[in-house]
Amino acid sequence: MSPIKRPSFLRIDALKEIGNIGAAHAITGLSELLQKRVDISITNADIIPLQIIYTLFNGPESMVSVVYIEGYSESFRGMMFLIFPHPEASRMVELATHNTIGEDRVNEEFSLSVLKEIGNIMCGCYLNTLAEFLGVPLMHSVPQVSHDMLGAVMDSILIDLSLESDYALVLETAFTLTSGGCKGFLFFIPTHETLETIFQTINVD
Amino acid sequence: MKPRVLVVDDAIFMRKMISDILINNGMEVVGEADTGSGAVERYAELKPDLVTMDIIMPEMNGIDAVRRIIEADSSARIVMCSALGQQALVQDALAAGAKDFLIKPFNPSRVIEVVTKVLNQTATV
Repeated sequence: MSPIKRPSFLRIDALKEIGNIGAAHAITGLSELLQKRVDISITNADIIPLQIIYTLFNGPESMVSVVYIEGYSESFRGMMFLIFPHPEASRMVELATHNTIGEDRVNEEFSLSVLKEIGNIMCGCYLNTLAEFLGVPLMHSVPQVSHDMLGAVMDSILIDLSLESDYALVLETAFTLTSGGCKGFLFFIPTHETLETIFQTINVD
Repeated sequence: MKPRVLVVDDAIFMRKMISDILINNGMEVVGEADTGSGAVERYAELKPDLVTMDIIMPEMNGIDAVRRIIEADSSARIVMCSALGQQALVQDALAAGAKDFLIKPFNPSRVIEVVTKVLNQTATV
């Protein structure tokens, strides 16, 4: 049972729509960078235990590459993270650079820089959409990138989020590159205060 | 003489991408910086004809770096390059003294169009 009060159906629906539009812009940014078609396979908004993210991969011990960014303004704070499973992360670097790097070189400085810039562009596009909705400029932190086991990455994200429980309202987007055999996941977790700001701005009860 | 450009971005990948576009179109990349404060130092040292400037960077963001560079050299030619294309941020950057704004991701022809326009505009002032 979630310790967080679930927003009304209308509010969840509104968040899903905001997430859809943000995701569409983020995916368009990725598509333009790679010059490839990228499809959104899932968008969702719900209160979930964050550990459920493990089920999207092969458990907490699966290797992933993660780009982590905090979006903020005076009345807004939300965390975004972009996750690529291990084989897909190196493929994504190859698609962006048109070079063959191999799976074992994804942790090198240049590869991490490529993933960081992909995260920067996708999260920037997503935040631009939210800024238009909210009518306030949004900035974001310098992207952090790491290549580690999913469990270790999620632990450090949970510490950064300073959540009172492991549950959070998460806007999730899954996407795939049909030609590249690549998939990735983009998550946005607004703080409770930010959710109220969003609901007041769009005037949904 | 080739236009001399300073490329500023905290992502090595993006610095390489922008540098390749500029070099392939007859420009010279005289230096790079990966922070806003590094950009201010490198500008003073190199006096380039143009700077491409990211916004979100460690130590000092790109808009503050533009202010510092313009304070020291009001004729500096700076083009912002950022994924944050919100109108308010574009206006902040232009008010700080940037000459134009490129929104990431960008294609090579758009980069060259804007860079060439800024180099030509300021050359006639």
